[in-house]
Amino acid sequence: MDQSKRILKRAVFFLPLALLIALFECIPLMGMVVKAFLADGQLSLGNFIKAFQEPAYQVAMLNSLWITILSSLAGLVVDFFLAMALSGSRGRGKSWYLSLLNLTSTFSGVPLTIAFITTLGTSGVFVLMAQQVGFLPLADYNLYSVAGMFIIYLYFQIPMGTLLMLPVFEKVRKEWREASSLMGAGQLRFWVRIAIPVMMPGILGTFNMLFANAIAAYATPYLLVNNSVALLPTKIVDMFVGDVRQRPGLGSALSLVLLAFVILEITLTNLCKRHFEKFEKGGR
Amino acid sequence: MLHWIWEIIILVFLLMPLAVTLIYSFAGRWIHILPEGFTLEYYAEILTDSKFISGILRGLFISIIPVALTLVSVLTALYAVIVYFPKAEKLVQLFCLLPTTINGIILATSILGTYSGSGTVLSNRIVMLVCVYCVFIMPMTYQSVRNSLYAVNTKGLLEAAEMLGYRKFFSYVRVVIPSILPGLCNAALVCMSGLFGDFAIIKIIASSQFETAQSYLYRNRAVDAQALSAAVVILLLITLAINLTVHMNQRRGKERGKS
Repeated sequence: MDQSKRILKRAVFFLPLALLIALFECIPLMGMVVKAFLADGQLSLGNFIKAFQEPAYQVAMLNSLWITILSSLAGLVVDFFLAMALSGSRGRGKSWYLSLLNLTSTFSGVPLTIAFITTLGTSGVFVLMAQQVGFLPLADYNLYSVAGMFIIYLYFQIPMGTLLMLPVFEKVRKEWREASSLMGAGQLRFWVRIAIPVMMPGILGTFNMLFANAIAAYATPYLLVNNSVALLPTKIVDMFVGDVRQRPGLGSALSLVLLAFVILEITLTNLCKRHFEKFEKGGR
Repeated sequence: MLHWIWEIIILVFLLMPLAVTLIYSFAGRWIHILPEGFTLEYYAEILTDSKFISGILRGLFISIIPVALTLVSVLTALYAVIVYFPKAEKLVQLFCLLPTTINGIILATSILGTYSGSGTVLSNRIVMLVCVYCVFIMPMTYQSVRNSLYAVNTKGLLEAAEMLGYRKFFSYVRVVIPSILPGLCNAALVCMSGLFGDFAIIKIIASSQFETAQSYLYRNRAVDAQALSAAVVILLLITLAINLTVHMNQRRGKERGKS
């Protein structure tokens, strides 16, 4: 009796966190799952069938997947080489660059999108300039499309990804490079056969963050292409707070689809990661 | 050489929108190659707009409260984990890191769907917003609190204090927390600057009732581009100030660690 009382007394320390987690993590998520699988008060897959059959939602899913995968891959490449360059440089220049990355990593959402509208929007500074000098590719730049918006996605993938990638480069030891060049391996061969496999878990972890970041981006597409291009986040929000009829059931189903994309991506990269971790252990 | 070129290309790309916004906010007119004139008119305009100023204050207010709430609840829970229930660690970690996978949009819409119109205190949009924010910053808060607590060997400190006759929780509050305070402040500031920049969650939960600086920008997006640029610059300066504070704290911490 005394024992259980004491345990209870100690468990009180969990109370605030447990309340937050139960009320705002568990109950809403379970509610969402229930809503997604209920249609007209009955257990059914109706919401999912609608989500996958109606062209509007299909397009939203495909658009979201495309822009997310492409911007994450492009971001990963840019970040990789930028982190590689930065890990080779020293001194004040590097610390300035890192500060800039820190600053721009907070530059996102509405302010970032507005800055890009000022730069590349229909009456953006660069567009007007290009029109004056007759530089056509820039003069006709259309920021209000998936392709045009891509540049903003790429922008917000750079600072965070590079900052995550920098410590990964520290894993590659100098001695390895010396050893491999002594054995006659070229630069390219060293990177492809030794450095990148060792860095792979870190690279995949960075890709996970970039993917999660891009697929949930809301402010940028909402400001730029809300009415013309469908994307999953904007569609989901419309289902709950839109001006049109609210459809929480369908919204919940779409949320689960979005969640499934993220979980699928994490599972795939984890499988990959395990392969390389095994490689790393076997190599030792 | 190639490294240099790449660094410079990305530097230009990263600076481009910042620089254009900055120049645009000071420029009198900019329709030719070069801007004409220099003016502070747009800063005067935006800084005297009471809606913008109150938006900033609202944004700061609504970011500080969740940060404090989450920090306190994670600190007390981890105290119990370290002192009494080491086996609960995995469970706490699981739930605290879960929101990383579930992004802000799903979190906010599911909470809105559950509690709006429930008639309880939770259906109040401001309360709801605070709670969504609490969960949203939980992964970040959990990780930094946990790292700080393990870095100072909390368990050992508490046991030593107990041998000297102090109660454990008392010494947790009076000894451990002050010693990790710089780390906690940094985590709090980073979370705060993240919440201050949020637009999606606030749009979902309380778009009309509670206008922060972000929603102000959105509402006025088509009104006056130059004043808007000035507003963007001001918001960036606020975030920069928060970041600089973190940076200086970290450097001071390092110096203290050395001496």
